[in-house]
Amino acid sequence: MNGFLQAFVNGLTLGAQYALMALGFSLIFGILGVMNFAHGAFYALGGYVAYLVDKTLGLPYALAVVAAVLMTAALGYVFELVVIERRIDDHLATIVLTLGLSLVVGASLLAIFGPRSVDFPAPLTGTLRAGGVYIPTARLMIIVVSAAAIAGVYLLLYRTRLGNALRALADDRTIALAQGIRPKVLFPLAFGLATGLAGLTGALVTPIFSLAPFVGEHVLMISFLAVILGGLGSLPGAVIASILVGLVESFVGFYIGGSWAPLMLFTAVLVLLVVRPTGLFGAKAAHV
Amino acid sequence: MPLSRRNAKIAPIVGAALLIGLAGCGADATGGGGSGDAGGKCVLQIGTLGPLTGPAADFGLSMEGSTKFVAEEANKAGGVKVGNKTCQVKVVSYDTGYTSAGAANGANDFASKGVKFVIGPLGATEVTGMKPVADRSKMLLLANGFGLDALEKKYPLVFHIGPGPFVWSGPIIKEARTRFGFTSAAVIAPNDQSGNDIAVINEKKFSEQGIPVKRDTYQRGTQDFAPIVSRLMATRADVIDFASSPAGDVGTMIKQLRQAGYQGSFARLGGESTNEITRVAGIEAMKNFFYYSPVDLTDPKIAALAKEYEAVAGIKATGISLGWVPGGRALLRAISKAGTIDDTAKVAEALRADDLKDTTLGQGVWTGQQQFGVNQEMSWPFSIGVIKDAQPSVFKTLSAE
Repeated sequence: MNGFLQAFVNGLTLGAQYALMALGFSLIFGILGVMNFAHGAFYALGGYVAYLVDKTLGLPYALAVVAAVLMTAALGYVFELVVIERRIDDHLATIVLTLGLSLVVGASLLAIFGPRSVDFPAPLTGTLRAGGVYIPTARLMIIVVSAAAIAGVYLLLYRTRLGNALRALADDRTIALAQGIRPKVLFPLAFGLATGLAGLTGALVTPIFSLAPFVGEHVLMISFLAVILGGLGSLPGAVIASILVGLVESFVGFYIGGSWAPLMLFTAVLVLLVVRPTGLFGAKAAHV
Repeated sequence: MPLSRRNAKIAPIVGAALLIGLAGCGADATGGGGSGDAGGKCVLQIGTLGPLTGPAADFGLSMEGSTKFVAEEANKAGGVKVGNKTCQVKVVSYDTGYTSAGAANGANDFASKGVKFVIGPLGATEVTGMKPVADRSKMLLLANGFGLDALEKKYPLVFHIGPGPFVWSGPIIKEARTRFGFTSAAVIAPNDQSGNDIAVINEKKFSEQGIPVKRDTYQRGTQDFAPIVSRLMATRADVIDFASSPAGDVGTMIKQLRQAGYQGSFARLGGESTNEITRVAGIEAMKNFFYYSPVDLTDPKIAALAKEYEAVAGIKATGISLGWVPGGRALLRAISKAGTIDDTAKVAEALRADDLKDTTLGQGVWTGQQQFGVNQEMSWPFSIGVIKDAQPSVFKTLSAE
C-alpha cells in the first residue's frame, strides 16, 4: 500500500512540473497557433537566471525565481514582437524560428557556463514523512507553486478583460480584429506569459535535479506529449494530461520498470491519436 | 480554444521535426587539418571523440583532456620521432552526443580529415557505432567502451585504453564488502548498450560472491528519478551500484535516494566521475560511496601529473582522465617505433609489442584474452576510491592482473 501511495505522490509531483511547462506550451499554441520549440530552452534559461541571482549575486532564492520569471518573460515578449510576429501565419517558419532560438539559447548557455552541471542545490532540503510515504519539501513547493500558477492563469484568462481578449483571438482572430482587439499588442504578452511559466518551472525544478545547458530537451518532449494527449490548444487538457502523464510514468516506473514508462506513454498517445485525433479534450474544450 | 484544421494537420509534422531537431543536437565537430606533411612540417593528427556536452560530458571532456595532455607532452619534448622526421601532434575533437550515430559521424569526419589514430570513443554504443566506419578507413582506435563486444578479433585495430569491469569489478566488490558490510545489491543503468553491458557484468560479479542482486534499467535522458528511486528503495538493497550511468544522472539519483531515506552504500563500478557526481548530489549525500578509480589521486606522482594535466587541459583532473594518459603515451611510442603515421596495421603491431611501462603508473599488462578473445586491453594497477573528509580518497590499490 505504501508503494502505491508513494507512486501516487511521485506521479503528482511529476505531473505538477509537466503541467507548468505544458500550460505555457499550450497557451502559445492556442492563442498564437505557434508551436514553441524553444520552450525547453526557456526552462533551462530560467534555471540559469535563478542560479546566477541566487548563487552568484547571493540574493534570496525567492528573488532568484522572480528574476527568472521576469527575464524569460521579457525575452519571450521581445522574441515574439521582433521575430515571430513577422511570420506569425507561417507555421513552418515559426517552427524553424523557435527551434533556432532553442539552439541559440542552448549553445549560449554552453559557451557561458560550460557543459558540466552547475552547483545549484535546492533551498529546501527536508523531507516530510507519513506512514512510510515521503515527499521532499522542495517537491511539495513545486506542487503548491504549480497549483497557484495554474489558478493564476485561469483567473487571468476567465476573469479579466485581457483574458477575454486573448480568448477571443484564440477563438476567431478575424472577428476579434473586427472588434478592435489588437493581436500585435496581445500576442507578445501571451508569448511572454508562457515563456515566463517555462522560466518559473526551470527556476523551481532544476535545483532539485541538475542544471546543464540542454536540460530542457527532455522536458520539452514530455510537455509536447502532454499537450498532444490533452488536445492541442486546450489548457484544461494540458493540465489534466500532464497529471496523467506524471501518474503513468510513476506507476509504470515503480511497478514495471523505468524503461517501460516512455514506451507505455508513447503507445498510449499513438493509440489515442488514432482513436481520438483531437486528444482527450481537444474537441470538447472549444474554448480555454 | 479552437483546434483549427490547419493546426491539427501540422501536429504530426511538428512531432517529426521535434524528434529530428533533438536527434541533431549535440553532434558537432571542431578542429581540422590533415595528417602528414603540412607545409613541409610533419603533423600527426590524433582524433578524440566522446560526449562533450550533456549529462555524460564529464567522460568526453576527460578523454579530450587526456589526449590534449599527451599531445602537449610530446610536443614539449620536441615532437614524435617518426622515421627520419619529427612530427608535431595535433588534436582533433568531435562531440558524439554519447550516441552510436554521433560516433559513426565522428569517424566519417576524422576520415575526411585524414585522421588515422583515435583516442576514444567511450560508451559501448559509441564503440559499436564507430568500429565498422573506422575499420573501413583503417583507423586505429584506443577505445574505452565497456561493451561486451568492445574488442573483437575481426577488428584488429581496436584496442582498449583501459581495463573494463571484467577486470576490476569483482576485486572491488570483494574488498568493499569487507569495509561496508553489504549483503544485498541493486544495479541500475540506462537501458541501452552502454548502460546494459557493464551492468550485466557487475550483476554477475556480485552474484559470483554470493551477494543477491537485482538489476534494473531506466530510460537515458530521464531527469526526475522519483519512480526509479521508489523502485530501488523497494529492493531493500544494502548497496546500489550505478555502473556507468552518466554522472549527472547518478548525482540526481543519489540526491533523491537520500531524500527518500536510503541509508545504504553507493557503488560506482563504471567510468570514474566522482567530482561531477558529488557536484550534483552534494557532499552530504555521498557518505558510504565507493568507486573504481583508475589511479590513486593521493599518490604524489599522480598528484604531480594531475597538476600538469590541469595546466594543459584546463579542467580538473579525474581518475579516468589520468588513467588514460599511459595509453596515449603508449600509442605515440608505437607510432614512433613503427616509423609511420599512415600504416595503422604496422603501428598496431608495434603497440601489441609495447611493454606498457609507464613513467607515472608503472608497469602495465595486456588483458582482454579471457573476456574478448584478444589481448588488446591495456591495464595498470587500479584503486578503490571512497569519499573521505569530503574529498575523493583511496583505501586500496589492486594489481592490474
